[in-house]
Amino acid sequence: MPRPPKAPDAAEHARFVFKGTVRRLKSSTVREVPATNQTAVVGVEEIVHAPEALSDHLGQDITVLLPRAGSLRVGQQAVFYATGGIFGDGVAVLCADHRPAERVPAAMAAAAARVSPTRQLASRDTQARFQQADLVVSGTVVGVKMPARGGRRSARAAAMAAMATTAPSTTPVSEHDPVMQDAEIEVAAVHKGSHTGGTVSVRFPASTDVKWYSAPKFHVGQEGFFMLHKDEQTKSARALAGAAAVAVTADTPGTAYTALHPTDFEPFDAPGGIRDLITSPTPTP
Amino acid sequence: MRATGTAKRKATASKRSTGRARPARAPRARARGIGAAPVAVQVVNIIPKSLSNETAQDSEPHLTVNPADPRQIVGTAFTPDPFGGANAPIFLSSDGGTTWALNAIVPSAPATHDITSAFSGTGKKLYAGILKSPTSSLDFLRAIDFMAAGPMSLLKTRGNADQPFTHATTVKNGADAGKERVYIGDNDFAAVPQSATIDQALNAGAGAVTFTSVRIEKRTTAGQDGPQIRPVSHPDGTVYAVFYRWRARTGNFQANTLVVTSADVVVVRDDKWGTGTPAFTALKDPSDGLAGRRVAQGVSLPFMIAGTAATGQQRLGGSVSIAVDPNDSAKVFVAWCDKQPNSILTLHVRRSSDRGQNWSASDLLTINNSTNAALAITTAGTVALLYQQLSGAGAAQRWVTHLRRTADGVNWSDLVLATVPAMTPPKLFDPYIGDYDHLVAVGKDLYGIFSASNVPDRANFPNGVTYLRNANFTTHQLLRTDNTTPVAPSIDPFFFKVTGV
Repeated sequence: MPRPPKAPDAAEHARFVFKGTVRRLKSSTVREVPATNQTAVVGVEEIVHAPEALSDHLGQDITVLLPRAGSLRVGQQAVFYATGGIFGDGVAVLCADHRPAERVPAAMAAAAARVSPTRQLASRDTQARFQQADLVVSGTVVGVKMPARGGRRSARAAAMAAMATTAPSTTPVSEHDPVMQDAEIEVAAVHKGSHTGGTVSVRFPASTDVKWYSAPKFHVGQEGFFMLHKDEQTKSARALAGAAAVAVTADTPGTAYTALHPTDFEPFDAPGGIRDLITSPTPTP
Repeated sequence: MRATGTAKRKATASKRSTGRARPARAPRARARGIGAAPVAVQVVNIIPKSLSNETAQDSEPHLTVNPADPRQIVGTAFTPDPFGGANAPIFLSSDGGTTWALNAIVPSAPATHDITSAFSGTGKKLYAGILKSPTSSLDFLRAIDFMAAGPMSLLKTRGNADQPFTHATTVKNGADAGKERVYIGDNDFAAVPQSATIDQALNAGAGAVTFTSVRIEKRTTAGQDGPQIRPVSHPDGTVYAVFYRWRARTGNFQANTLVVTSADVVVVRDDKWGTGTPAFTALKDPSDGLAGRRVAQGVSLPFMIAGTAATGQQRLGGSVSIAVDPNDSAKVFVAWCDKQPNSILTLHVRRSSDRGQNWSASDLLTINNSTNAALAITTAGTVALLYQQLSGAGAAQRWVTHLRRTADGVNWSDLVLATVPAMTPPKLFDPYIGDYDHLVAVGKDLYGIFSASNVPDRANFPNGVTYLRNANFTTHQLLRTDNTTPVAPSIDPFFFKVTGV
């Protein structure tokens, strides 16, 4: 019997939040989830936010794995905070918490506003990236080039680079090589953090490997918002630093900005997202 | 609607399109066996009905079947967590592969960069080797119950490695009876230039698990070995592994021109579950006396960063597989791919009957334009080979998934499991269909998994298919969970089972 995880703050971490009414207790609609005293079948009546996979479950009955037995009764309406799910013929969600519907007016207000549940979740994710970002700018890509190999390097990177010079045919290669490139952004405005100068350099993976394909790929002329992070690339690439090309990249100065998450770049003509965050006086989750 | 596979069931499928009919058990097509007896073939698109909206590139599949209960099966692929949460999913079946569900228990968000898993045969324990997202750390994992919702436990983690390939078993006899063995082949960049490595845990079921890295490359290399290191064990304690030793290369990986101009296909062996002194050195090559028998020498292969139209969108980088006869650990088969004229990759199969010391002088099978070789041997002695072959030219290219079987190494039957367009859908990332697929023998049955375009067309599946996700085989359209709105084609994992072999 699956046990739902404990979440320190269910409202913050839940990715599927919905209001529903308990149809049956000790029941399940999913073959792989046996009915126990911690399972309930719940009718979904309002969706606050949801991943795409659950965006069209409004009006359907789903199985809920409750955080504790005996906490709900048949016919009771509540808001459920789910952190994961089991997807089979039907869906069972792992409920980290549930609260009486009348006690969560903010969540219900969002649902009542009829904003798309998937957009609600995407906005929350974008806001999280915004908060993590060291620098958020708007601007235009004016150049893309291979990273310079100068600057300070670690001893390991220097050794690997030396090997690459003296014996290029033996430099280790990995399928997950990011093929890092540098994009030069002409900054029109700074929305978070501080930056002096008219341009900022952003390191990004050009690779189409499964590890890197979803990271934004930059080309000259692109205009939009850029959420930039100082140390993510170093952390990510360090795991592959045995490959010389990656090692050199990983040991670039720690101030190199990266944009590795799909939401880290947003074109000016995209709706919502970063634009909403920087124009809203008080961003809301 | 739940679509079904065989022509005989068309009427049933049509009835289901009304939404009134209950889903039926997956059909089993009858196909010609190696001898006179027919075999039953079951092919299932394992994307569940509740995920009918999905369009992910679910490539690079792997499969494990619980030898203690073959109804319990786990599949993996580059499938992201539908919740977008902290754990990547596994595909699980508890009814022998007829129905499937996703359970997000792999600590890697939202998918993995590589994953393989293996049942040990002790209860519902599942082991996995992954490259974790986003760091690509090499993580070894364990779940006590693969059907439970909690995340798998981390047994060991480190960086600098590639393509973990997991094999597990439980010792049946002797002083160590009951102990679980886990062998994970990986290309360890921390060990370059001799990077081929087996990470082994000889008591993986213990509370505190110790993994030991065994460097199985004993010769010089061109900076590293190939990423494919494939272990397999026999109940008597014999453990084999096969890998490419890279000897020379030219070109530029980032420019997609890298060619391994010389490589050896090397087989290593340990006769005591990996406790030999030193481990995996039981098999010496007579020409240099070093551990690791070279089955083929000086082969050439491309090592691509990205697939192209000429390669059916699939990046190519070689493929190796090894299988040992469950009735006789001396009998072992090896498959590998190399570059030959007028062929993107050419697959070769050879065998040894003396524990890998001597190998057939020529190929038992040579197949052009093929990759993703996977071998398995049943308790009936049937040797099976799964592979994916690029056929046709230009926009008409197709990825054709074959299962070949032989009882004598000479006469091979051929089951075409899928023949799908190679250019539809366009790839989202590399690898398009995966750097591997997988085949498992349990008793006399064969279980396998491959990834392919999911366009619902019966002509694409000559031995039948079941789609768990919504699909209309008349209009050749995938449908959302509302069973009405079309969904774009994508790459899906397909499970198959062949019985009666």
